[in-house]
Amino acid sequence: MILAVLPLSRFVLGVLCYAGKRVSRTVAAVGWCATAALSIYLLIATRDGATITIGLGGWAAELGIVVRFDAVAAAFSPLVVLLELAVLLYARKEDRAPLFYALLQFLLGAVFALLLAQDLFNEYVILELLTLVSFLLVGYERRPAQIWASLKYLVLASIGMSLFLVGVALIYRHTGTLNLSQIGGIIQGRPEADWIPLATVLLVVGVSVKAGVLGLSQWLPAAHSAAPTEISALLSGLVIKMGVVVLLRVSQVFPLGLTLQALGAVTAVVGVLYAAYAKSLKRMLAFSTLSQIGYLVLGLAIGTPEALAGVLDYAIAHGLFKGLLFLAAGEAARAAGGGRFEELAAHRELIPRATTTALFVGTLAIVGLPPLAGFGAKSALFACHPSPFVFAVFIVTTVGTAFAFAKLLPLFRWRRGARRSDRTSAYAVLAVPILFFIPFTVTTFPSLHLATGLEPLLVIESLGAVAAGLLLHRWLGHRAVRLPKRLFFLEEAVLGILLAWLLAAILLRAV
Amino acid sequence: MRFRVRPLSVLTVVAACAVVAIVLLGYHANRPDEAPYSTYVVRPVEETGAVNRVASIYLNYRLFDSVLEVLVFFVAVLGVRHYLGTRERTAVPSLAESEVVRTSSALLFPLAVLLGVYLAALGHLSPGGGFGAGVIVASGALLVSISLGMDAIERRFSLGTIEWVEQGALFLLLAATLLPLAFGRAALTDVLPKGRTGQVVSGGMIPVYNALVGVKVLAGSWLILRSFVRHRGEI
Amino acid sequence: MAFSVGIVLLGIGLVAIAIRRDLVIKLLALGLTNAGSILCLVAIGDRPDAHVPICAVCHDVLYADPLPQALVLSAIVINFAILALALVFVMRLVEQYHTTDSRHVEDLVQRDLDEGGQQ
Repeated sequence: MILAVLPLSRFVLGVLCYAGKRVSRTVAAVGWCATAALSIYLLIATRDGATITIGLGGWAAELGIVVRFDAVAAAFSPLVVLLELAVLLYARKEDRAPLFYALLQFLLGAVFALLLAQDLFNEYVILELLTLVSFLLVGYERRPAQIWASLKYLVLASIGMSLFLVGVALIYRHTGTLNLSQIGGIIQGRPEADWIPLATVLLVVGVSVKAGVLGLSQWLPAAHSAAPTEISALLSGLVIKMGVVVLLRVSQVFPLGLTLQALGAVTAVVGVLYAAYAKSLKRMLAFSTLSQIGYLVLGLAIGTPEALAGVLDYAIAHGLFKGLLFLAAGEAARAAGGGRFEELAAHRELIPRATTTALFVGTLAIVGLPPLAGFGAKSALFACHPSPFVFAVFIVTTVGTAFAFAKLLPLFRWRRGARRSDRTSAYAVLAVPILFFIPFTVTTFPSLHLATGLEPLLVIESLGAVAAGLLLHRWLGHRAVRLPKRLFFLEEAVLGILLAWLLAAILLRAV
Repeated sequence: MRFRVRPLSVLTVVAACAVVAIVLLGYHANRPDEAPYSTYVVRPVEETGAVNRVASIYLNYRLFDSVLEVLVFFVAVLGVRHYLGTRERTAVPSLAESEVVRTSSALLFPLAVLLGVYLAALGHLSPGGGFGAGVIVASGALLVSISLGMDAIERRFSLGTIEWVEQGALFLLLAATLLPLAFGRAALTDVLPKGRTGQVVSGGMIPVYNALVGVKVLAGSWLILRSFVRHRGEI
Repeated sequence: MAFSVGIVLLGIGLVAIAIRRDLVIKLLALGLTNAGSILCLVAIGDRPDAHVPICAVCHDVLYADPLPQALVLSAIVINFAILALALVFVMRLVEQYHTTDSRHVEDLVQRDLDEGGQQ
């Protein structure tokens, strides 16, 4: 019963936020408190790995819509609560209109609805709602760059969802149900059925457009870097993970084979390559999100339950530190008068000390320095004994991330006299779980059985990767390489979707 | 028309043809032999009270999807209203020039209202439903604004009233979906009696939902149309 | 048959989005793509000699599957919302840049970013 209340109440609050112009901030705060309370209750109720399932309206699975609070939803709830708190604290100082808070409520309601969803068409509608709301939020400040970025996002996401819908049609034709558990049962009964590969390709490609997989998600760098700061934090930290969650659900039901490995590897490597040579901070963060999504997809490709736990762990960690980085980057860019690295370095004395600290903590976390968030999660993934290819991609991405983020080193010279920041509370909300990540995850998710522990081998690997990245930066960092931007234009993005579809079809033997 | 055949375009066309061919081949090669499932048609009609099985699906079994979809519509209305720019022309939109157009538009409006009310009220007995009804009545309102001008409508129903109606309908829809949960009932729709099958007063809450959705879509469509017309400055 | 038409429409829409440079035509093509996918979904519920699924007691004859029809209602509304909002954004872009050519818009946006700096 609570499961239905969670998303629906957010929508109600969204309407109230919009209708009651003067009280929208209070309503948003009340919404956060209610959500936090409900999440804590649900987390406690599922501590031992139990799941709560209800059929909405009391109808059975083949008639109505089923929602379930399972380990994935339990893993993401704290992330949503923390990110929302940070964004609300940050936005309080930005003086946003009631429309902003209303759209925020809808966004978070859709996120919760998606976490609970178990039904293919339900996921379709929620993904479209998520697309529309984040599209509006990306273009919120109505600057031409933002409008263009959000337009590209909408067009590509809509194409992806059309492909998803055709896949749903095919699946319904052959199974007669839209419920994922029932479809899984039918597929397990006849895993070699001929219709499965084609439907799988359509489904996976459709959802990967939203999940941030490269070849399909060329909208990501523009949209995440052009959006207003809080929205970038939410998009990179949370919304993109929702696509990965749907991909996860799909991968648990349909056999996906090599596709995820190929797509994940390409995403991770190309993302980190572009991040290394990005010219502005927010753009680099957006490309880095792409490559981290590659990490997550590779983790999904491994497929074992420990890998799944590692993926969830890393998704939360990434949400926390990418959110922190984006919030800090926004303020730093505004203080220094520009988002480019040259401008940030030139005016670094204008950036408040708290912002620089936040950037520092975020950087340490993303390169995987123990014992912060990134290390804990990466060790969970490494410990799953991935194949040599996947392991190599992991190492390359880690070194590349260190290489890319070494560009921020000039900012970290400790100096005095910087202005005070009034967004320290927002940073603190995110930074504390990052710093104390391992105890945080162990207490919050006992059922995930995460491989935590500061094993010496993993520590050495992490430190080695970071050192390698720093050394690379010292040798190669001065060359400005111009990578082709045409990859991310709209027309090439559509071609990319088609080519990725063909690649997936070949890999899944749908041809 | 100048044709510059770019290699990327050729590649796109080839790739798209390949995708289409693969999907078509895959679909036709794997058609299931037996007739596909019809889970909903064989359910007893007393379960929902709606003779129209499609209405029973989207307003009873899968009500959540419809609520989400109404939300999508609401977000669209918000987006159009707030992102179209604040430069609303205060000039009165001019009317259509032909007397024939103006008269016939005014004549069509009552028909549109009648059709809309019929579709919404009998959505559980015959094809129709709240969405189509709302759009039809909004189109009728647009016809009125062609013949009498947009100010005529706005003098009668101010912008604030229409906004309240829209948000109120959405709020009531969400509340009607949430409230049974608060009272411990899992079922979302058996609050009202089901009546006798085939009567207008049957189908439990389905006619109420149809009406709410119709009102919401009407108000929202009108707001969208109004925003575009006002932005352009003439109709 | 209808399913095949839907897939072909989907393909034509995709190609048009990629090839045509005018933003409004891209939007029309997007609508076409969505319409194609919706047609696929409806066509799935087809049976030979199907009847309309409105019946009090539905046993003797073969009825069309009502579920895809109900799903398509949501899909159509979503399609409408996407087109409306995309149109609004295209209008904003045209107001700003006075061109509907997507390449020009891309170049102008890039130029603005290079000059403006704040991103």
